[in-house]
Amino acid sequence: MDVSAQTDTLIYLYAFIPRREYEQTEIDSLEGIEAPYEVEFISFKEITAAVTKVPEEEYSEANLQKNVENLRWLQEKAYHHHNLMNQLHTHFTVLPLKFGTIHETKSRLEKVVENQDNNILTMLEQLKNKEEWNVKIYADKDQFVSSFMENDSEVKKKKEEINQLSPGKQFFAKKKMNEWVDEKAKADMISLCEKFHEKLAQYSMDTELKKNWEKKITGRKEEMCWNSVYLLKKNQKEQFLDCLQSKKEEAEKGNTGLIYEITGPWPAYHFSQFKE
Amino acid sequence: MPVEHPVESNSLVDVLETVLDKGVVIAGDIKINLADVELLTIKIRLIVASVDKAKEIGMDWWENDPHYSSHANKLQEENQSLQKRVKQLEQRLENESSIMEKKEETSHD
Repeated sequence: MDVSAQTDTLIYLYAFIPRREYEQTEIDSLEGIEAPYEVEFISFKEITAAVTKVPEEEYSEANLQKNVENLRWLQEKAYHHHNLMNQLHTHFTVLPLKFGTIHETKSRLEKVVENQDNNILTMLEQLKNKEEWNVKIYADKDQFVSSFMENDSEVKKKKEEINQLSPGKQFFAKKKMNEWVDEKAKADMISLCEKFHEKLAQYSMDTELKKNWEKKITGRKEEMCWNSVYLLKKNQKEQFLDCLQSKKEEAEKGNTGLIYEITGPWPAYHFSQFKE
Repeated sequence: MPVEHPVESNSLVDVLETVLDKGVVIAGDIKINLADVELLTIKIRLIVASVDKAKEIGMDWWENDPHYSSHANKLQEENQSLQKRVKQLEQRLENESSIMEKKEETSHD
């Protein structure tokens, strides 16, 4: 199939993969982002591009802009991009492109590959046999604070001191202590997350800290207090996952108020950037 | 093992945030402007989860956000004035209790 044969289609680019891997692997046909077009592979010197045709009607600049503003459309297509990338990732080393990378013709794509040849090959080499995992830690704050109150030795001391005071003074001393506990617990929470991150980082080739999402994004009751991605060697991920699993169980048993969540394996989206 | 491909609706946010914002950027021939990805994610979440479901999971922020609701505005004002009054009362109580204690101390002498 020749992608440039039809004039009324454009080329949607998913990913680059090493040509050698592509030629050594048989895979079933994959549905593209727009039926009935399937995923096609265009091979260059050492690089193979995973692409699909898209109708120009829907993907011209003006129309695509309208489409991405339609949130149902955007969600469906973003999911397709994600699923297709996962499928490619089960077979190949994948350098994932950001959603919505589109070229007019095969020769335009060829130009890009020529220009970026070195960058693409370097990245593919770096990402070989690696995958990305995402770890988020949420805190049930009330539970965290109450478990902190029970276990922290300074809190115990302060409580005893307060009990010696007159009732009038106790009220304000307690108020002050609660403020202190809130802050101390928060600092404690951050340092727990940091320590755990450092441990996970030992099993990782690379890490990236991400922003904690607000509750209106996560839709959860608990506050997100850690969000980070890790680049792992496929054959070393067991240690990483075991470490997480035991932390998770420990947190559940101990009622610490911290909730550990992990997603993966992902293609290495967060570690796919060309060096300037 | 609890580890699965992140395709369930609870990781909708992960998927959107990742594929719309991460991955290699190569200038294609077609340029699109994606609105702020966080904002998009919130909006899409709202579509995916029905409004009732959203409420159930506490995502009814538009009802409590003064920007979206006059009811919330009123609540906020009320809240502020109550907080002010509590503070005043606390201050008075603190003054009185320290005066009382001083009195107690002097009467013991």
